[in-house]
Amino acid sequence: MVGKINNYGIGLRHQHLQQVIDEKPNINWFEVHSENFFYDNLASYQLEQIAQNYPISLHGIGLSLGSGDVLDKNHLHKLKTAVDRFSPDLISDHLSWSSINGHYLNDLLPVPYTQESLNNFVNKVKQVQDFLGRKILIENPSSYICFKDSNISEWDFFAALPSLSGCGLLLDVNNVYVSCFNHGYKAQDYLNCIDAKDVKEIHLAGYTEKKLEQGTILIDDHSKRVSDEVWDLYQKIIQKIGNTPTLIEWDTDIPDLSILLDEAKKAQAVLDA
Amino acid sequence: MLKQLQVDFYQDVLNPKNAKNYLANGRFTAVDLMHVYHNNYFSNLTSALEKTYSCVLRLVGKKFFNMLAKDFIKKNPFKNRQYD
Repeated sequence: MVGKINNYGIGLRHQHLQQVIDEKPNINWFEVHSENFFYDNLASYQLEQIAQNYPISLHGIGLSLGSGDVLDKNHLHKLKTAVDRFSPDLISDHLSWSSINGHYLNDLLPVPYTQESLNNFVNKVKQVQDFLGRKILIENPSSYICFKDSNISEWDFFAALPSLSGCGLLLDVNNVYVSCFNHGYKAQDYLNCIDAKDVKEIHLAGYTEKKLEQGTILIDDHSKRVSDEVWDLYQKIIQKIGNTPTLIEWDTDIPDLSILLDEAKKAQAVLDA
Repeated sequence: MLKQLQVDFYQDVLNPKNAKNYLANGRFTAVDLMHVYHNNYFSNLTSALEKTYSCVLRLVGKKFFNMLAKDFIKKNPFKNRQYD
């Protein structure tokens, strides 16, 4: 490991791996999707080289911790192998599920906010942490629906995870904004519940507005620059919780590396203010 | 109960027109909301197919490729946790 993750970083995708090796851009750290580096291929070889010069965060999208299925031990073993290989400073996954009965949806799907679901999620996080022998971070979701059975607020469910499982929190500010807009929640209610000491990383990304017959819904597609509203919310959060490692995510219509680095510098300006 | 809800949800992502009655009332209809997840699912997998079969994409064009991809995805449900 080359050092600790701090200040600003960017999500690193396949098309920029070689450019990062060649140009060694001025950035503090990179985050990759863990599952894309489970195999012994060119991308993994490239990430090994990058990890010699930058701290790395492994951000999972496949553990499906909120699923009613048992944890996939094969997936967990592959994650452990990647952790041993790349020595990440941080490891994270999502408050979501993506598989049931062996079917995979390649998406981060919402869980119902019930005691059964909370017990299930906490149990899975503990299993992962026991297996890896270290803490992981859990990211709050962006959602478009609410389940009838939910009787706990999203922010209470999310904020309870550290004390119940020992995990840390990855606070995605765009997800807070998208969920609050879509469901009519107040972002301040969400943030008031979060204990600053639990937040170990922040994500920023862009969303898309979709017009439906009954109104506008925000889709968290990571396809644009961070919106002004999300920058404002991010400033308020940093004022409240202090300097926290912050990542720019971009997963759809991925732009030139220079644009990602430009967005990351905006985050640094907020951290420095 | 959690597992049954997720089995129903999975089926409704694939066929949002038949969305079941487990969503709380809100601004949007259940069918519209499940279409968001339906569109994400097909869009993510179509993007992966575009990367894998980039020559086919160039040969047939995006519109026809997307039609082929949707048919392929319906007949071959995703069985992998790898993202892209």
